[in-house]
Amino acid sequence: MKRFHGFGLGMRPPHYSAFIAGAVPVDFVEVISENFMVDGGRPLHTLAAVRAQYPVALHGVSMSLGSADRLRAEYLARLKALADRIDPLWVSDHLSWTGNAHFNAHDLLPLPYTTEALDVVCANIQHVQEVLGRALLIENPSSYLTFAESEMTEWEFIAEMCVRTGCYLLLDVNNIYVSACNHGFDPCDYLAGVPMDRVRQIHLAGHSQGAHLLIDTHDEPVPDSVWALYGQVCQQLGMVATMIERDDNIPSLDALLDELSIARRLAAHCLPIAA
Amino acid sequence: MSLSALQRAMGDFLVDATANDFATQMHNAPGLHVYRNNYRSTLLACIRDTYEKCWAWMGDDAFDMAAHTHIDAKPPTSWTLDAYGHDFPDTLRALYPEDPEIADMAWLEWAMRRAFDGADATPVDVAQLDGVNWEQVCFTMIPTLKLGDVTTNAAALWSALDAEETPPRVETFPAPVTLCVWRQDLSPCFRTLKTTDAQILRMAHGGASFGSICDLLARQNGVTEAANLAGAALGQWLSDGFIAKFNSSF
Repeated sequence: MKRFHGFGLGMRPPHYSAFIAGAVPVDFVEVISENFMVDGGRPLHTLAAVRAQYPVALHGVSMSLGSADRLRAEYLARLKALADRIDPLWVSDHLSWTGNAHFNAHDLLPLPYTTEALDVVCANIQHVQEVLGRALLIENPSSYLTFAESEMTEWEFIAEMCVRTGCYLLLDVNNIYVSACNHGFDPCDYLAGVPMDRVRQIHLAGHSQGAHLLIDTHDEPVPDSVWALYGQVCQQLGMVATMIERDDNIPSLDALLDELSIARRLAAHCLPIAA
Repeated sequence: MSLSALQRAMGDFLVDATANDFATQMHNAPGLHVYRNNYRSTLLACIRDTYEKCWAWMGDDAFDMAAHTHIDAKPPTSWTLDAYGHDFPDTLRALYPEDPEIADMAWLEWAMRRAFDGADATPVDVAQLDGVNWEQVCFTMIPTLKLGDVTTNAAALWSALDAEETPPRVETFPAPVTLCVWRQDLSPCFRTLKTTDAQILRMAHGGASFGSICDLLARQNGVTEAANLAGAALGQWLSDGFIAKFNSSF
């Protein structure tokens, strides 16, 4: 899988018309898969028009790779149909669970980092990769809980997951920062522990301070703390597809493009140490 | 604890605001409540988005109370959030039996939401009428076409709210009236049907032949008037893009 696809934005409804017109100077667009896993109508019409203008990455939020129950066949069938329809750059989802056979929280819920969970996640990733006929990108989560049952760190879990499944990584720099603050680990340990050679995309986003924890709200500009960590990531990685992920309190496209310009400058400036 | 047991316990904690076994087990970690808040706020936002005209009609307090009642009683089960709240009209009907326009408007909003991203179909056009055996033909209607009965002027209320105009007074009809909802091109739309139009559209939607529809109209109205009514209905269905395919009834 090609390593660098440029700089992109997550496509959100207020900006659909600009993307359809091809008027946004980005190298790729990321869309939320589930928004387009529908039978027909305007969503698919919109996506086809955007796809005619830009390479598109599919980013899911409901695959529930960490679910102890079987993955939902209808979900996978719809995702495969969508991927076949638009020929995405890649398909990604999260290291999390969202529900089981009878319940769906519609949230990215945390996993205990146990050998049992690793077996479940790896089996599910392998199943999805077989159904889709392509390797997945898995995004590291932000989380607000840790479990006494955990037997390894998140980065150890991710490293083993990549070895077993051959999946790639979507490294969310904000999520590393949020979880590091919430759980008291050093982001440098995280960056040293995940297999950087598997990273094919980076997310940049903002967060908010809650009563006790940092909350991964995606409703603020990327803060200095996350930019600094992104600089470290670029030093280790070199050029990797990078995008701004904004989900709430959506600003103008110009504001998002200004943030993307910062990412371009940082990535160009922070050349890999080994290069 | 196995992964499966942990996920069941956390799911129970999220769904039932009074269930705290999992919280005790997790030493009341503050993060638990972030997930519980996320769960409820996501579902509330979903219901508000789907039923935005009901929300506007009812006001924040009454609507949110109804939404929270629904969230407590109906945890989501589908993989897609789009499916959540399909039975919210039933919750509203139970909570507000004296205000039937609320549940009627909710039914309309749900039907329009489903028409928005329902399956595509190309309606037949006039050029395809040549050679049709009108006695035997029956119809496959477009998949987004839905019919439903209301007992109030909820459609007029919806239209006024959509246009940001002052809604009319609520009217309760002496007998149920049928609304049809469908998608024309990319936009959901709806229309109120007269009694006979509703009856024959239901027949056609259910697979009855055009000949049997004409027979019914002839029994009710006489042969001459039946021909006028059937022709007008067929013209309207074609104009609205209801018919996806002509089928032989044999």
